[in-house]
Amino acid sequence: MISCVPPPPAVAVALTGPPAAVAPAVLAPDDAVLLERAAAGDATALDELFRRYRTVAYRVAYRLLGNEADALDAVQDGFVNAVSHVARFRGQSSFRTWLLRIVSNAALDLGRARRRRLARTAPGCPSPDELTLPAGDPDPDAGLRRQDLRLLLDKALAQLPLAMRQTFVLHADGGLTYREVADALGISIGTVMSRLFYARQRLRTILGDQVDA
Amino acid sequence: MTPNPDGPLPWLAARADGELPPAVAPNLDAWTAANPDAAAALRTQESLAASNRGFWRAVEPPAPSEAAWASVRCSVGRRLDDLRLAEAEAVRRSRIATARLTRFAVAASVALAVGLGIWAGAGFSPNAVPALRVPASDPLADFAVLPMAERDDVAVYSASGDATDRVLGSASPLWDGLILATSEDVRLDGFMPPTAPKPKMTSGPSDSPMIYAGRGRSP
Repeated sequence: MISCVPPPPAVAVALTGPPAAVAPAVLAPDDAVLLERAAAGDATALDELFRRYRTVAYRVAYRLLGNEADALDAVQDGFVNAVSHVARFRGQSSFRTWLLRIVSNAALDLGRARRRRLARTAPGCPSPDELTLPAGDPDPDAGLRRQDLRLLLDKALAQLPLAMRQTFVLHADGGLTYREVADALGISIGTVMSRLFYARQRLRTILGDQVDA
Repeated sequence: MTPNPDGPLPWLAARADGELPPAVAPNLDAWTAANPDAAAALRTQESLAASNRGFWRAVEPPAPSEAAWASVRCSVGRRLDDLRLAEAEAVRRSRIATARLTRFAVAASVALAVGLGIWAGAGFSPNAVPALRVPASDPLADFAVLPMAERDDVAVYSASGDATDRVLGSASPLWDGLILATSEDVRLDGFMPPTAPKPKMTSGPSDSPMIYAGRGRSP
């Protein structure tokens, strides 16, 4: 990740004019407009886009990677690619759908790179996965705390095939409809149905009764 | 929509999620209403969908700190700035390359034009060829008209009028010299090609007959 100095906080300006009731209502700019402006170098537009979609992008990336730092890197890559390739956004889908597709692809790319990195771990050295994921079955007497449950879910998601995992995460965490997932991934809605159904079946098998709890 | 090869369960799951396409939903509802097993399967899927949503909410990813978000936002802006600078630099380089190419093309064109001019000026122009081929020693070059031939230079093969009498009655019809003979009176056989213009003979400024040269001077 590139090191950056955080931007200075925004300065609130007190208005001395009439109350806000007489001021005309200002509609929030459309995503496509913000995207065009951000691509042209408008930092304010980029700020607004980032504020709107950073959380959902992070959720998708995190579910695909199971690691906060990697997920933030995927979010960064996704925003950079989305804004710098604005010409490819033809408005046939929403910006949210388009961005989540880019972020999920960036996350999968990072995941592949991480697996290659893990494959190069010297014998006898702990791998990063061993440091971030539970090593074995959790202690049944202590119960699963929230963090443990999350790590268990991350591990279960990691066992799904890539395409199935991407489809499931875009729907469950990205909040995309079946149709939007189909558009984002370029597959039929029947394939989306099938992948989601079998992803849930597998997760249920892996997680056991945790889902029903 | 194509039929799902996995059977009706994915369709039931989609129905439980409220995601079934409107064109298909009535048919599936009619099928589940008429089939108790299908209705039970649908209820199972609805229950699973609800528990899945609850489970998913319970395991939210860890929220990044504001400092982490600020770092990501800053990195996005910086990388985009770098990309824009790189793009502007690429455009600038492209313009420089185009300008260089244009200058080279202009220089090459000028050099080609100058070369052609020199080549043409050195005597390779088609218009200059006849002038160069005129021999400098042409004995007729300085004469606008041929001088009158001497008597020994002219052979008369036919004559008319008084000249006929002279041919028949004396040794030479030129005894007194030719008087105002015309081109009709003189034929120069074997000297000029048949298509060449005939020499013109007329009186000179001092009443001396002159024979003007035809166009071609070489035999």
